[in-house]
Amino acid sequence: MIQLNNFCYRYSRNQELFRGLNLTLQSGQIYGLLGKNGAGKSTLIKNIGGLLFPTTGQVQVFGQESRLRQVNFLKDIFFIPEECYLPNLTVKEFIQVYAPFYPNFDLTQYQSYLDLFGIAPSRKLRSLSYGQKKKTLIGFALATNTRVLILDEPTNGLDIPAKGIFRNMIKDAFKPDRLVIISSHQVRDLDELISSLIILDQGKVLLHAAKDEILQRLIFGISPASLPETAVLYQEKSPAGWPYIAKNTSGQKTYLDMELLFNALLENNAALQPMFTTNPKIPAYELS
Amino acid sequence: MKKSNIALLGLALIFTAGMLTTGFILKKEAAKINLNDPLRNYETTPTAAFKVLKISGSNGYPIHIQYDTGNSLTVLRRRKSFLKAKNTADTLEIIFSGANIPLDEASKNTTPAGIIIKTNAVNKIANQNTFVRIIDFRKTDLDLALSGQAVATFSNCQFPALNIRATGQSRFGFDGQNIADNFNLNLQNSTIGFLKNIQFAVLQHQVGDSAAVVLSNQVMAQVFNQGQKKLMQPTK
Amino acid sequence: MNLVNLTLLLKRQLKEQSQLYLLGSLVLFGLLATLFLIVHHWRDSFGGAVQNGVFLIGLFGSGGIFTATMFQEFSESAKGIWLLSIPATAAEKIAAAILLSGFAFLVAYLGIYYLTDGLYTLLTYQKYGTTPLNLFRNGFYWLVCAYFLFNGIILLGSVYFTKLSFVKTLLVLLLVLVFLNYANNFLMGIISGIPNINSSTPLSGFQFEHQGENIYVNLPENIDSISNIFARAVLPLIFWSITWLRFREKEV
Repeated sequence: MIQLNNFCYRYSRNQELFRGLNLTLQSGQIYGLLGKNGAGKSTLIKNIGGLLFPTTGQVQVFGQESRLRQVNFLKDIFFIPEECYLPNLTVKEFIQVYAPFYPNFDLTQYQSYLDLFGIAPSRKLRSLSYGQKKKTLIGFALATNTRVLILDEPTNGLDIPAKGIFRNMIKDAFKPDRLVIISSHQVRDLDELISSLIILDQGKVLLHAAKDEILQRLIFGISPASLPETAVLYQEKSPAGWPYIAKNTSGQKTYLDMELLFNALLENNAALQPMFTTNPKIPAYELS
Repeated sequence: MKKSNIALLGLALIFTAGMLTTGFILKKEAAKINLNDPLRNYETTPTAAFKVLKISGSNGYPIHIQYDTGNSLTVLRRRKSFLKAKNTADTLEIIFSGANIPLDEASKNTTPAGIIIKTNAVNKIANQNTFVRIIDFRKTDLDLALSGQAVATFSNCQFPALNIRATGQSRFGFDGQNIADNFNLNLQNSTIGFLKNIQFAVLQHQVGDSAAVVLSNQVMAQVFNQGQKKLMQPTK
Repeated sequence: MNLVNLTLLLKRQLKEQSQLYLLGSLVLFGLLATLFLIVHHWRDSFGGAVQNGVFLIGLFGSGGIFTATMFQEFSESAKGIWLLSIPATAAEKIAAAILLSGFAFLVAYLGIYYLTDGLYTLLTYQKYGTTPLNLFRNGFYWLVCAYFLFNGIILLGSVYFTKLSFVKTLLVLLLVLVFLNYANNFLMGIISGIPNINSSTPLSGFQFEHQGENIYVNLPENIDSISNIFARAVLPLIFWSITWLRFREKEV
């Protein structure tokens, strides 16, 4: 479990990003952290990863304060930044050097990823393409079996098949005691993967809810023409027609258009926000 | 403020406090210096009488050995930490290390003496690698052993008997007016003896193949004149 | 401090940088040989203890650069994240850096230096009677101890500064030394009341001019020993400790 208590973060004395944020993230969830550029996504996950320190307040991961970067904390969390770094080693050496740091590292699991990517253990990590490097690193992160996995813009730089592989890797390696946070502004890449959504804007959490909860309260549809404002909470024009969001009064379960919800929350915050003010109900994550 | 910055600030404070404390201690030390004393940059400690003086080291500051009424050791204050002196029975052993000043500097008149040794009983000096000036010895015999890169110069000395044994790359010479009634030379290896400003009645010599003796005009005349009188007696 | 983690960190550094260290050793050998060649070729211009000079230039030059690479990860965000995320304590990471850049480097440097010095001695012994450098002659090893202080300062700088840490640290060090020199002269002048202080060394002594002669004032022996121990043993420990504190506070 990750807990942020009264979390404040300032870049400088005059530049505040987060103020008094309280947030609880539960195990068994894959969180999609969405927001525009500069919304505070990277700052938030870096604070969780112990790479930045809160100005005031606390960030705890499984009861351990992130900023202290204790060994047990570091053994239980893996952070993959947007621009990933891999040392000047062969794949085999990389495992020899780094795997011993992680007590739950599963060599067979990692081997299966390498087989999947077609990367020989003798290959130099630096000689791999950007996408291969990223996949190798994500594979390593999953094989460490840390309870928390944080990925910052993981699909950036990946081609379409690689994005598919990435989604499958995360799904296959997911366990109920794991907590995954994926920060991205490419919402469609995460569509089928995430179980909960956190939408940030200017250091504020606009939405923190499970996908199921959102679909219980909202329906997403597309209309050939613009609908009356009283009938919808939000609608926008697209090449295919008028996608809209309305209150779910019928209990009907629709496809969650995250991009539309994201735009709606940013533009029509006042109408949608009251619908998610209560504490989010967290469902058990089910793999499809 | 970050703990590391506080620690750095603390270090700066400790350093400042240290500078202030040492400042006050140095003020007291400065007050002890008699500015009218020609040896104001020196510190003197009396030492027990000794007959044998062993000097070694590599300091570029010359060591003065002066015949006097008493026995004392005077050291240039800023070179004090490089001096180790040990008295055992009738021997004074001195190690004068550090400084890393080339030995050549020692021969310059501008280089002050590093140590001034006053003695009233010494008759044997062994010098290894240092530059010594033997000054004002009167009516006393002296055995001098030079080794390594040792250098010795005699100034205004009178010896009934002077025995010099030089090895390694050592050198010796004379300044002012010097007399050795019985002069016994033993030069080995690549040693050089500069015989100038020295008068002798008898010269005995033993000079190795690589050693050299440089004679002044006056000494050469002395050698040849006295050689004819068979006063110059090679021992080998 | 977990020894297993420490060993793993040392293994990590050596494996990742082995190529660089090997090439660096060759470059160091070449540079030292070149320095010896220069001082020998222009030996009239380089009088005195040239071997000591070459030793110190090589030690502080290469040691400084080597130390600055210990935490070069901080120059890039992704690398910095990687280093900070390795499951080991800050103390273990700092200890590994000190062991490598302070102690292991010194051993390796001595090996490379004596190899070049041996060649230099071999070639010049017959004509000039050169003998290999004796570290224990004239208390020279105290200057080698000063390397640990230098190591502490450079290590701290590499955690403090993100980009061009080595250059920035050297610049700050230079400024601090210049400031300390003037500040100490000024302070000694005020405290002692002596107007003609022309040079001083903090925590050690000063000299002033009297009738055209420099008069030296030094600390009493016992206090001077304490001051020396502080500078050569305590200060490196303090700088290593501050590096550890800064590492714990490091944000990327």
